[in-house]
Amino acid sequence: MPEDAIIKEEDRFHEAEGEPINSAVCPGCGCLCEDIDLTIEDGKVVQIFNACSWGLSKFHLGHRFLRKPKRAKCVFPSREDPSGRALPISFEEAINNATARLKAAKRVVMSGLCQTTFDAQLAAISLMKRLDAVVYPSEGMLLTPFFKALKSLPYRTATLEEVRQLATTVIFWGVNPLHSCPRLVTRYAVFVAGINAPDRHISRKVFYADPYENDTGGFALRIPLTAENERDILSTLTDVIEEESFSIPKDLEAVARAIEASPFVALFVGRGIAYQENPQALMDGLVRLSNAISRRRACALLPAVSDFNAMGFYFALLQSGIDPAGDPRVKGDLREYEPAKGDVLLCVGSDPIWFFTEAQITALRSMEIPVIAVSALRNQTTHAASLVIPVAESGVEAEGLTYRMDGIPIWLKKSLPSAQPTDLAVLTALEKGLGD
Amino acid sequence: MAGMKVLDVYRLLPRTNCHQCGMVCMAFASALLMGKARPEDCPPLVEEEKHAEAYEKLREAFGDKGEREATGLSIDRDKCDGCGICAAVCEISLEKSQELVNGKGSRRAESPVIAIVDGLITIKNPDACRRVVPDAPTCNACVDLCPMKALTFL
Ligand code: SF4
Repeated sequence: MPEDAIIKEEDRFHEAEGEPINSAVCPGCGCLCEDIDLTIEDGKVVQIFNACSWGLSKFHLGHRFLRKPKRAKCVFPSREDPSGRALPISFEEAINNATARLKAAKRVVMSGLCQTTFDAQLAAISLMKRLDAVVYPSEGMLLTPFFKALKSLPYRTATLEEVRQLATTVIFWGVNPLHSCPRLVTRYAVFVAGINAPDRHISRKVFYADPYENDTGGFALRIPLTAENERDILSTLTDVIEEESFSIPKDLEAVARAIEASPFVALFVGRGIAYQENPQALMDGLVRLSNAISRRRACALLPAVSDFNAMGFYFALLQSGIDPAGDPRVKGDLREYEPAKGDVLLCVGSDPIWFFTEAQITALRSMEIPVIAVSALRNQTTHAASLVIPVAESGVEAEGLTYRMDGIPIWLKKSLPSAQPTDLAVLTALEKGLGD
Repeated sequence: MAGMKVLDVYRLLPRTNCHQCGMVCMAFASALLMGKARPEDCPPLVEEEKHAEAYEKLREAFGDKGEREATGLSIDRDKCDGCGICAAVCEISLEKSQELVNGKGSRRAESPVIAIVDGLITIKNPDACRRVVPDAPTCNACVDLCPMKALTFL
């Protein structure tokens, strides 16, 4: 074998030296991969095994990662001075400044809250109740319609382990798993052997429903649809499954036959549903489809969430006595937020400015709506914020309980030190600062 | 890169002479033009948001897009998202890692052909690759099933 004929030296593995941490949990997406091995040197990760590139971006990386664009941390609390520059202030000043703004607000609008621990979510909901705030969870465009659909329709789910062992037909509806949850397909859904799928992807039939072709097409058949006919396609497929009809439209033949032949179907749904005219009707339709499949074989419907503790936030709402499917304070799609004079925007671990439409940003500016950002990392929202309160990054610098996309609780470990308070501490201090 | 002069490159750099790349900015600009350095070697360019646009331009002009001149596996680092399909479909990696068989990533002590290290496909045990072992059946599994089209055997 000629030396290096196939593999280049730089593609080979070179082990880093440092303190090893094994089986850390990745605070990336709702897969919460618990097989992450880290090597730490001087408080920074210098080698990371098994995390995908999205997971990688959550850890603070040492010099070996120069080639990866890194996300900068928020270093000190700051408030915007009249010229728009960020003035460093103390934590105490930041909390006082924030509570003063929250007290003076006509309406507090909270956003984010899906990338933090369950305890911090409970604290945020307590604050939300105190302020009678409205909340746009960062995964609201998927999970608010999801919980609404479950309120009136029966529904079946399963753990990701059951999907892996039993599913032989897998459908991704409105989600590109390679972008939302990159390792979902290798860990649970497609490229892994299970009891019913000994030959991994070869034993499974995989489909994706999307108005456009995307890279999921590398291993899945597309169910062709358009934004206009998506609901019709869904209800036709449901009819076919329910009635066992033999007159199947050509485009649905493969998926209908795969469902028919499969002992267990996994149906993953994603944020893509929010780009349709009536996301709620589409979500209701997907629950109906999963029920239709469930009548004669097992079917699990799972939201493929890309924020690691999105499910936790909805569980925290329920634990706090708030109905995510009926309480008018719980909103869905952030793009539906209509800024109003007197609003204060409180963003926790999120980047709503990145999501806002031009019209929303113009309205925020013209109405001079203050933005308070509680964030570990710098982003467009911290850049535009009137007040920034830095926090330790959950799952990397702060530990706590979190829930996987299938509702399984997982404890996030702390792997790196931090000089910043946790977001739980900041949210608790904000509520305390409101006084009686 | 065509038509770029040393001053054009210099203007895109942070121009702070911080020496983190081991030289002053003007020398780094010439090093880039001569192919002796890569944009990634300048930490402020990579790390600071204000340089994001300049960094992109420099990566366009001088970045590694995964092209290789010699025969071998080419990894396009810009495309790989670390999903691990390449490792999960590599029969030899599965033979060498029980964890991989169980749907997890391989562990440090195991030696699969492919592992996901630092968010990217990494060849951990090249000598076991079927492309390298004499008389082994031809195998293209990792390349064929990479949905991001990040891999090619040149
Ligand atoms: S798939 Fe999700 S949880 Fe797993 S490594 Fe990637 S971002 Fe982290």
